[in-house]
Amino acid sequence: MNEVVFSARRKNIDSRGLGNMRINMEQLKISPLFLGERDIIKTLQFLPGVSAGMEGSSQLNIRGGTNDQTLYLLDDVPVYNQSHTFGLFSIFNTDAIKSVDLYKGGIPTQYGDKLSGVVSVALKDGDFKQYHNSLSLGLLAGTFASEGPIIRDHLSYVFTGRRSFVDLLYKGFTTISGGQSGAMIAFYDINAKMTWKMNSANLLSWQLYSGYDDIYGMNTGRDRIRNERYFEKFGYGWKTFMTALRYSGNLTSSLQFIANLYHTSLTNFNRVTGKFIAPDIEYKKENVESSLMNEMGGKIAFEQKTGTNNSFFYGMEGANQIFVPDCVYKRENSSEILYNSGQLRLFKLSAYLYDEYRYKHWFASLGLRASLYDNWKKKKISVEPRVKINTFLGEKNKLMLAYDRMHQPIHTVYEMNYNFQADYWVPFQEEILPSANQASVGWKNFTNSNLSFSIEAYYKTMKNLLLIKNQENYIDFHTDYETGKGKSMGFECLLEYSRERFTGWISYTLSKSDRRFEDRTYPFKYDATHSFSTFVSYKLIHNEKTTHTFSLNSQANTGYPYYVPEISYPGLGLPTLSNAYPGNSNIYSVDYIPQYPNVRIRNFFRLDANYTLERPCKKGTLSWQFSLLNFTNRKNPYAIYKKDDKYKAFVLIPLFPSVAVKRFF
Amino acid sequence: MEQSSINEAERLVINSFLTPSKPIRVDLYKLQKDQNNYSCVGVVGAHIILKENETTLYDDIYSDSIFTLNYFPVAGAAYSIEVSYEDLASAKATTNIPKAIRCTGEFTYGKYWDIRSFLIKLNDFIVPPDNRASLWITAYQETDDGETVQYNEIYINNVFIDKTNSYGGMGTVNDIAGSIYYESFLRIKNTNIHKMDELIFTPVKVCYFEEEFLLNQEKIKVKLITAGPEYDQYSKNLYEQKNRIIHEEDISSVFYQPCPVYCNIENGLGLFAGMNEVDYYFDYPVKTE
Repeated sequence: MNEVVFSARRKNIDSRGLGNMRINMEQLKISPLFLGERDIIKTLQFLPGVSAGMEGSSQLNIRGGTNDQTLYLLDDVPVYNQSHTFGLFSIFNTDAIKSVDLYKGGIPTQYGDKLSGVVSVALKDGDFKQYHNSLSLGLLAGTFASEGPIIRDHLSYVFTGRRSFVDLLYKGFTTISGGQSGAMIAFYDINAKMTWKMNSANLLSWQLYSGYDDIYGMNTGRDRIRNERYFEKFGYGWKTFMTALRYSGNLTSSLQFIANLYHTSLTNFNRVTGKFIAPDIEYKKENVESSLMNEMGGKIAFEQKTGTNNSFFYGMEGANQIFVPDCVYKRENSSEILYNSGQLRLFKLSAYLYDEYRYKHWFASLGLRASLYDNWKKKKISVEPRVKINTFLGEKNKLMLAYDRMHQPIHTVYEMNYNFQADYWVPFQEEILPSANQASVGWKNFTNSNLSFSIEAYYKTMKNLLLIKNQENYIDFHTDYETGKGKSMGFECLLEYSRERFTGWISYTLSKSDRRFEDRTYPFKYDATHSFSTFVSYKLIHNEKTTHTFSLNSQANTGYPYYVPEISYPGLGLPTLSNAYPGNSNIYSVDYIPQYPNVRIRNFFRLDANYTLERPCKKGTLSWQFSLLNFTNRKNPYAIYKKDDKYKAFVLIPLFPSVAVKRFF
Repeated sequence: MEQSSINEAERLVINSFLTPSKPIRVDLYKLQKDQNNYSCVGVVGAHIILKENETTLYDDIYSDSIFTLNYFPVAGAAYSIEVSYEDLASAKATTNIPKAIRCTGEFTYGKYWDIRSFLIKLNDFIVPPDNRASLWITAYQETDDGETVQYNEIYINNVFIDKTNSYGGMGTVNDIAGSIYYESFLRIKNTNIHKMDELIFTPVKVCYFEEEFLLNQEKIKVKLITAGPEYDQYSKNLYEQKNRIIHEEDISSVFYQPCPVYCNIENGLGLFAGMNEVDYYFDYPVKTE
């Protein structure tokens, strides 16, 4: 009997519905490279309606929202940081991922607590039958991944570990050379998952994510004659942690459920450590200032099929969050001090339901989510209706409509920060619970099996947004902030084409986003009228022995609004004499920076070129990836500042070559 | 920048620190635009209305850009100012003079020449009630003839000090003050003042230029500045603005963010802020051998 082969077009981005896109691992293999790595967040940044913010970031600013308005889920568990090394990499290791869903609109009611969008990353279960391993080495980091059965057909594991190695080389070099000063970055992350297939219908899994980042300066020295050594390290960092237990199963043939219990946390720290060793003296110091966030929670979700055309979804989730904004640990030799300024807390409890109904060529999803948010001073109840309606016009055109209401009980506290800063979360204060309403429409065309084309338009309003003028007073006294509104509207196009060796997509967004505070309307900090990105990939050689793929990716957008010191005026100086500040003589001049963006920075453009060679080995495969980042060497500003009465721009990513090698076995 | 929309209105700049230890002084400027350039010039002939607790202290046109009044502000009183000049919008501001935070002080040292053994201990803080002020502390070298040089590194091992200006020293200055120093001042925010029972610190003067050496030091002066909310925010912001300057496009740029300086002048720029100062003097160690 001849084997029957069904072939279907492999799409890079699966546009599943209005505002919802899915990328799975097969699709991720044909996606833009960044420093020789494929990164899920970097790939999502190519999609319409999604802004990366400043270059090199791992942010997703969705449809006029900020990154803290995007819900990041790892196997349905929220994570409150998604960046490694200023955002050059995301925390999501592609070796551990099964698929990623992005929701910009039409957000199902099981998702909440954020205003603008959802990124739901599903970790893969380990293979229950075979072992797979891989080892990769990039420009900054190395990754090891392994999966396979622990008990064949019953219990499997996935483990991935990633670590920067430049810092290790540097540390070794300083040890050998006897003393150096310099700045360095270090990070690691591990993903682990064990899955127990209890029977054909029930799975129990445990997952863990632990990530660490450290951006530091270091001074070391050695005096061989006096036999003295010193070491000092100072810098910033953060730790991201998540662990969860998840059960999914069928209670009856028509009723499925998923339950999980989890713990997730984020710690930011600013640390100085030092050691001095001499023949008669050993001195150690440590000074750590940190902010902590801990969340313990649980969820239970049901899906009940009540007919061939109807499914009913309902569930509950609850979590307790504890925030410690200011924690200090000091150690001078054996003397230790630990202090924190107190806790902020938030308890949240949500229940939701929605019904998906199909009738002929119509599809409707009506849902409601209700939440209680308690910050232990005030309680707020939110009710969020969500509606999605789709219909086919003929067989090749689909029309879609959605309405979403969202509320957000926690937020980060940086307003003017564009660049790297670890997220610092606090719960809502007083009666102010930010909310958003979004209406969106879309059209999708299926005329050609190799080509898909979709257009979406949205209109979103946000209220009770915060403009924090003084972070310390906001935390200590609940003063020095303004509440305001936001508005965002846009038009998004996505065109995908793939045929044989060629794959490509083009995305374009026309949008306008603004904020209104104190009776003044101004553009949102990542407002870009035009945003355009393309990706093309072509397999130059593709046979049993080798595959050579060349790809180009580019991004362009209107320059973002920015705050620059536009004028200077006489000041009153600092509580000191001017001779105390040899480096800052001009303390009697104040650079005036308005509360609102006053310029737009240069339009952004970057073109990256990548070449991948892949060949099968005796066991597994070997691939080499060569990249040229910012191929045109365009000077895209990362920060703009004023120095010596001149405006200057700092460029993070110049023309930058990189290479990565990966071995599957 | 390819697109710019800088178009600031011309307006008045008012600058004044009000403290019971000095007569009132207000510096007045006008921000003016000449084509695409902005500059500040002193304002002569402005109409100034200055009030203390709704009682008018001055209401007239003043013929100098530096307004002075031989009157010492009173701790606990509220002050308001309104300045009008030509067709510019009237600039207004209000502030309160905080009552002074006081303490007792003690100075100890080991060998007279060993400046690393110097310890200044401040304790028994008396904090006036209903006070939203923060505490700033500076220290100075002084001679009998009034020459003053500020200590620019203050070593202290205390969790209540604001970390804004903290740095890791290259080693411990002594076992008590530790190895973390604060550049030129200590700031204790309002909510931490009440938790603090004592401060023990070692002031160090690092000389960058030879002329900064102060011969014949006779005293150590410690100044406690009770900073009203306006003074506190302004000084903290200004320090941050001056210290977040990018060092010639190196990797520190990734931490840069625009840093506005607090301003409480309605329709204008500058600061009108109340503060209170108390000085404590300690005799410098005399040569004993």
